[in-house]
Amino acid sequence: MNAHILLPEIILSITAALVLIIEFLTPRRLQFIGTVTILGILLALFYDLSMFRNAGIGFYGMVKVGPFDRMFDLIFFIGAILLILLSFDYFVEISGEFYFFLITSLIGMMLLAKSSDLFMLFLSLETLSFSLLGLIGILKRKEFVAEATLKYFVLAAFSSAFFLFGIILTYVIFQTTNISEISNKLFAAGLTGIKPGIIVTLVLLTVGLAFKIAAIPFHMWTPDVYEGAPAPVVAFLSAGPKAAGFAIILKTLLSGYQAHPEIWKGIVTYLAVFTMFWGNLAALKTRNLKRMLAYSTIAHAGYVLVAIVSVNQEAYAAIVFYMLSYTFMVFGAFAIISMIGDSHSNLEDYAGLSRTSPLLAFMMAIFMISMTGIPTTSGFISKFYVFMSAAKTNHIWLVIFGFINGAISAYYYLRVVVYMYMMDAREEHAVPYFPFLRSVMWIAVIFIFYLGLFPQKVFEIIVSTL
Amino acid sequence: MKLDLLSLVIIFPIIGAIPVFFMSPKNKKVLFDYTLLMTLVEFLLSLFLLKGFKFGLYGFQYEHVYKWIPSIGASFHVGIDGMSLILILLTTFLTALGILSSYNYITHKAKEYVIVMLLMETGMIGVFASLDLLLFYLFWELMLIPMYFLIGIWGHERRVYAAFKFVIYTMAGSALLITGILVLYFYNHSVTGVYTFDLLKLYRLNVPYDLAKKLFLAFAIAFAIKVPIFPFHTWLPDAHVEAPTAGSVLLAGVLLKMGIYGFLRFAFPLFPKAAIHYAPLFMALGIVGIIYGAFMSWVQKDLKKLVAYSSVAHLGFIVLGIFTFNMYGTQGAVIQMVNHGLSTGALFFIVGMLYERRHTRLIEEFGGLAKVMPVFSVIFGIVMLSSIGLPGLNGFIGEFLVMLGAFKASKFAAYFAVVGIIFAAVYMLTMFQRVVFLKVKEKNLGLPDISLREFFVLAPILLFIFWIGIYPKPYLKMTEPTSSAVIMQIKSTQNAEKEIKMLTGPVGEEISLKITGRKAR
Amino acid sequence: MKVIFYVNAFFSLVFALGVLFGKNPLRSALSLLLFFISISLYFFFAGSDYLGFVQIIVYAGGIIVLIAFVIIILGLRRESPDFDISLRSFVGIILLALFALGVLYGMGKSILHFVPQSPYFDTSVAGIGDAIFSRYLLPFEVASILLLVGVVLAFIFAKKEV
Repeated sequence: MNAHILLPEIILSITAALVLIIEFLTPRRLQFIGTVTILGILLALFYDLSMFRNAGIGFYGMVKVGPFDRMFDLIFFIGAILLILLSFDYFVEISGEFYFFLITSLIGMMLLAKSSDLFMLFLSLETLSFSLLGLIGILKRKEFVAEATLKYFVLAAFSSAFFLFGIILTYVIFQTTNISEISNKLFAAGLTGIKPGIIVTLVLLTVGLAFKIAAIPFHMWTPDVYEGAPAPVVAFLSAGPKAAGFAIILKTLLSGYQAHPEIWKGIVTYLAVFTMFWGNLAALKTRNLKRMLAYSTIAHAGYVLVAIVSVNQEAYAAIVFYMLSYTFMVFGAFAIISMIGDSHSNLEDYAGLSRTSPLLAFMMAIFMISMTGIPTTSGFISKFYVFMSAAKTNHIWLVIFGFINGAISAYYYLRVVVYMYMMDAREEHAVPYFPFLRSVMWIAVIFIFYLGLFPQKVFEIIVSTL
Repeated sequence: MKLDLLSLVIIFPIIGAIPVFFMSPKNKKVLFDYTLLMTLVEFLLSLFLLKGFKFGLYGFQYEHVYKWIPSIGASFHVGIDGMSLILILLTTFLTALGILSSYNYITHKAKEYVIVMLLMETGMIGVFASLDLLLFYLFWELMLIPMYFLIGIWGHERRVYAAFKFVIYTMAGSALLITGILVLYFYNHSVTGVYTFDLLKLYRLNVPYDLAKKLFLAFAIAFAIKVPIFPFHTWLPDAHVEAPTAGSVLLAGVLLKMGIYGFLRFAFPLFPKAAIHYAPLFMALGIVGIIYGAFMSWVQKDLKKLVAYSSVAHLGFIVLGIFTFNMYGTQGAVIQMVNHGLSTGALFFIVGMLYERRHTRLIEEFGGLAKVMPVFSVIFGIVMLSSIGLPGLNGFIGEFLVMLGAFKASKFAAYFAVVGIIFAAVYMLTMFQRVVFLKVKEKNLGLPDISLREFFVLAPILLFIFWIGIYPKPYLKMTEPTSSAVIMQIKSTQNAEKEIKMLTGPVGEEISLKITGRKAR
Repeated sequence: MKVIFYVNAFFSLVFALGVLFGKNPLRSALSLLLFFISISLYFFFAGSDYLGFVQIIVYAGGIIVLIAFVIIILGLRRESPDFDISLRSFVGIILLALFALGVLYGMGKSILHFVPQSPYFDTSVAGIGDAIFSRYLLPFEVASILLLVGVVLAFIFAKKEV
């Protein structure tokens, strides 16, 4: 059965139970519960890293673990820890179940990255979605939160239905839900006669996944959820679960159907192009920073989809690197949004920030510049790496589109900078000092420059896991 | 890891910028004094580069390779030849003067200003020194952000619009550039089996004609936007007019040169056949630029806009020069890059000084400055004449050589270029007359003449204006190996070799003979 | 046998639509009940009697009773579901129909090539127990986490304080 390969997940499950018990015994001691959570996560991380190179199949073929999946784990862990740090300053009064949902979402993501069975994939996906629901709706009395939660719930259910339908039809065709068996059968038998059926299943699976990564035209939930949900949760949402979404795409499309990439490549190519352009163009006219970042995250999903189209080893590495660097960028940006305040996330609220708090303005400028993809920041290297994998397989137009989108996105990212540096505030008020939010900001900046200037080390690690 | 001199020159401004973060933003004077010191030290360092530079040698000097991202074959590979060196010197020179000129001009956010200036200096020098395509791209894009801030924060009324336009134009061009780089990179791998961005290794690559044509266009459009060559020039007047003085100076003096430099260093040697194929097109665009820039300058009411459009015309000359593919044209273009940096830079300084006094740049607002500000007017006159290309001043050397080259390459092109020179004289002299002579307007009566600090901004430029104008030989000699190498790389036909043999020799001498009528010894 | 299968399929469709279009919430709940029962028939057709009974007991017996309970507690109201046939919904229906046709076409086209196999494990109580605690252990455990999350979620959203 090989249970020990899921030791980190088991540790996390125990921590989750512990958090519930502590919350029951001594309610609402956030820092305490948060610390317990961090300790649990660090312990899980420790075991995860100590087994980093151990590959194996466990639980009767339900999970297949390799170093590459543990690389994804690392992104999830980073996201979770940063979210906890943000939560210490951001939330004043919430129930400790917040941390329970955090851990269960972490379990969901980690199992997603490791599942080698569509059935298992679906269950972990649901665990993730439900936990995120808890994270999004934790401040249920606040404005827009109910709307965001309900929207996420309905659309998550809707997309899960598509995904499930796809899984069932896959089972009809292949008589199995195990991904490697599907792959083997495709290699052995080929496509003769079952091509229409496979296309149907792939369309269904892709629609379900496109919801998760917010690709066009299944992105409608993103702006509303981003606007309504608490800023730290939004950061987490666009880092971890999105990376998990790409992990599933890698699992199902790239691993499962690797014998015949041509049947899904067309779909994903169009998805990538439309997602990039639509996300960027829609962001141009939004004047709310959180909504803008929602569209920007759509655009970033488009960039990553470009890597998936190119089906090669670089693509795998590029996606992990991209999500890693994007995690830092998005957490940095949302740390500052948390400091300014969720309800003050209109562009006008950032006017004159360079005067009231020069450091924050400077940092925000760095995050925005990094998201634009200007060199020396990790945003450039990650984008470059993604498009390199596409150029390698001669998708020249995708590369050109990608970089042109970089130019388009410069407009709205730099508009934030314009407001901070070139406009005057209507009323100036100082931003309070938040130690934890600031620490997240510093971590993000350090990693953005580290990954942007000296990516070699991380490249090596990622490539060695392939 | 021991740092070599060139890398030190590249990163020194950034190192110099670090202490600024800890300085008080209140004390503007200290900030500027410190930054001036840093830029002067940087200039000194670049002079050390000159000291150790061996003239007349082919290939790159001060070459150094540091590991950067070995897994994709990108390295911190720097090195300079004559052309890079002269542009680096121009950069450090103009940056120091730019800081010196901004003591009064910058009224707010002084701390950010000096950081941005220093950051930009690193970017500019890096562009001219990198011999690795990815590194080059890194510096190329890195430049954008400081310039964006410079225009956007300290610019004039429509600064935000101009800054956006500048960034988005350049980034759209860079999209093609980086795609071209990637395609070249993978083509190189398919031929040699090695992943590398190293320029010197990619030079050896013989790209098939069809691919080369596409790649050349990708590179050329990116560079053409930066130059800017005629249809892509619309960002330039906006950026120039809205930028603060030092920004305009660096924009005209250095940034525009990056495009030309890109052609000479990357586009031509990598895709020589394609360059020849597209040469008529670009020569035509260069000529259109000359004529169009002249006409546009003629009708401008705004002094700064006039200078900006005159830049379009000058850059048209340079483009014409580099696409002649002969020694005269290329040498002329390279020297004209320096000249344009000096004279247009000086013109922008002058416009900035006028603006500081009157807070307007409209030509009609001035008049009769010769009476009020005699010293200033004399300097203005000299700079203006150098911009027109009066013999004895630097502009003449460059334009003359370009004309010579154009004449050899295509007589037709040369005729148009001559017309352009005449136009240049017309609009510059008209402007000068309206600003400096005519009757004194009442509002201008009390204007103070040039201050000592301002004099020190312009005097060094004047020195070089005369020096290059009278004795250009050292400059020509410095860039000679570069030019002949470029030509050699472009034309591997026998015909070209003959031409090079004829011209690689004592070309500086020959030219000074032609210009001054006597042997320069 | 085949005739009964198709008749049942038809009726499950009717009941499902009845849930949507029922004017009375209680009537919708009753349609849902009948729908669940017709679903359970599929299990009987597939030979897994145990799952069929579980379906009836849990869904029809348990969940529907709860739903009916809630409806009664909240008070009976005649809700008129407003389906305005605007252009938008019309386009939506057409697209949906096209989508359904596409799925039917795609699957129907390739149905001849499917290799029918005997069920993976036997569907007796013992067999299901075996499967749950061996091959499907992990999904079973994850499902338990999922349900726990669901319970906590409901608790969080239902309680008064924030």
